[in-house]
Amino acid sequence: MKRAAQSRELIELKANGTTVRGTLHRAHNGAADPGSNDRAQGQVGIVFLNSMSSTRAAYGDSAVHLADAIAECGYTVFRLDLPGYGDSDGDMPADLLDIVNRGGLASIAAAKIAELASRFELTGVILQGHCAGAVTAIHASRACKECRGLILMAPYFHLPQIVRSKARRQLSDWALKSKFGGRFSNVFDRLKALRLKLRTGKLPENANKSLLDSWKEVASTRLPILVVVPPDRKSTGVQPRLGEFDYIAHIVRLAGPRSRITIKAADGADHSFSNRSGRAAIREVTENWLHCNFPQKAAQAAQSEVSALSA
Amino acid sequence: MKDGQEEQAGYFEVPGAHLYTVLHRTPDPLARVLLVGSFAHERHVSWRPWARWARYLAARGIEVLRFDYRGVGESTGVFEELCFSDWLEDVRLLAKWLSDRTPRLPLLLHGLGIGGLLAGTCFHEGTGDALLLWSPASSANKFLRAGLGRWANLGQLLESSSSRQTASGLIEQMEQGSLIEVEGYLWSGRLWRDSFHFELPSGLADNEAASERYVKPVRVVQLGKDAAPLVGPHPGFAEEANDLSWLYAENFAWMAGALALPMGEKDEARCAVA
Repeated sequence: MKRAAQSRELIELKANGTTVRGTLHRAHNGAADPGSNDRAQGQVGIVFLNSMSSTRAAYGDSAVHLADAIAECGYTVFRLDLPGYGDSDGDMPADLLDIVNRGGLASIAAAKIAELASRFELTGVILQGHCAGAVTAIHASRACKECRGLILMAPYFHLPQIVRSKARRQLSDWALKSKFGGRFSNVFDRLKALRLKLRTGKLPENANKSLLDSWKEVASTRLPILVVVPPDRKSTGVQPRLGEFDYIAHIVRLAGPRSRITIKAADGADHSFSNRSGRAAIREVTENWLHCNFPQKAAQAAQSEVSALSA
Repeated sequence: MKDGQEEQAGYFEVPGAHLYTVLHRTPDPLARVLLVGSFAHERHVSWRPWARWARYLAARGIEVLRFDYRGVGESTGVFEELCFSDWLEDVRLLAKWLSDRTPRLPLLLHGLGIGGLLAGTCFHEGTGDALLLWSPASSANKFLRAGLGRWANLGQLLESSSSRQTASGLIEQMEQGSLIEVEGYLWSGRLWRDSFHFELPSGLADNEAASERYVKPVRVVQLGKDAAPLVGPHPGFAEEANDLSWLYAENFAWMAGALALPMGEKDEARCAVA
């Protein structure tokens, strides 16, 4: 058994008695020899944090595909299984979503990122998270002095209901499946929109206030942040569905005029970004943002190689 | 984890790819187990309880190897270029590697879902000293059809009416050579055609048939909802925390008897600590 294969290498972070396991995707720089760990020296590394999917590969292996794609364009990527996830130590608690939403994984994530940055001599890290992983990334970025940027895929800023009642699930299924149910759903959306208007822009009661506080603190420091939003079934672009609070507009306001936030819609993506259109969209948006905000030698070499090949 | 026990993640080379493997090592092992896990789209829900089972066994003196199939999860390879023949080869190669390790020890193959079909096929060919199957798929094609049915039903809920597809429509596309997307994986016509050649050997349908057909110990267990998320349905993520120690204890007890493991005082103490 080998620790490395093709452009990947398996890593373990063992400090403080907690073993976190992960996969390193080496930056491609056009050289024939994929090289070793020192390829990451002096670079910014991109660290993927777990979503609610239980392994670092994520649903449909979407994290593996994205990490491979980013490494191909010259960036070193690390995918980690935080404690309780995938192959790492610890058990997954039943109230994991609550823990994530409260920022309960932030301190262990920050500690392991510090260990990672030191071991691979990184100049800094960009934290990447999808859905619940985006929540962890925002919370962790406050405690992580190595953080140089954030990539947030389908972030949410409310406290979702973990288990919906059976009646509620059946109602949703009916609304989705039947024509009459669809009409009923549209009327319901209009009523919600009216209620929202009457609240005159106040935050919904289930807003995740501690997360929004973390966001405000982090985003107002001019940290480059990419927010990628998959389309909702009943909306277009980054607009929320009718009747739902516009959290994206709200976080842009909170960040202030000097912030460096890029908001992008991922056309054709499903929530997990595991479908073909989703994979292509997130790849394109992320690559462009990285080249703009974090140009690196290896990335430039990879880009030149691609240009030479296509010429 | 106790002294001497460790989990070694590594890559195992197979034709055209590297399999991601985790070897759960234990000092003075009594036996070895190859865990042959669930199929691509079920991997992410069954992974943690599968890993916990490996740790449970390692804590009781069993060396365990678990892995990702070619083109899935942490393994390299392109999923849409692969099929059941390749994944059966993965099982054969890993079983050989494990049985060649020194010292020579009894080898048990343990399959879950489609992994049950592959482990069963390998056992039927003569590999391994015992076999444990949890909810084995009876046929690869039926298994794919069931997966497609669930996926098409989900599409009825989530897709707009213009892009909704039926399971039969998806099958037709594969038969015509197109790739179809199922839960993030691209299924090919080759995968579909290949699936018709994979059936669980008839002697492994249940324990009665197995005892008539095989001299070596075999146990077939149909898991119920209480074993979720090892098997579906998978309605919620919170299920991840289900305590499956009853399932582990019951199956370990069978395994110890089947392999005639020398569970002396030292080993009982080892289990008690774990």
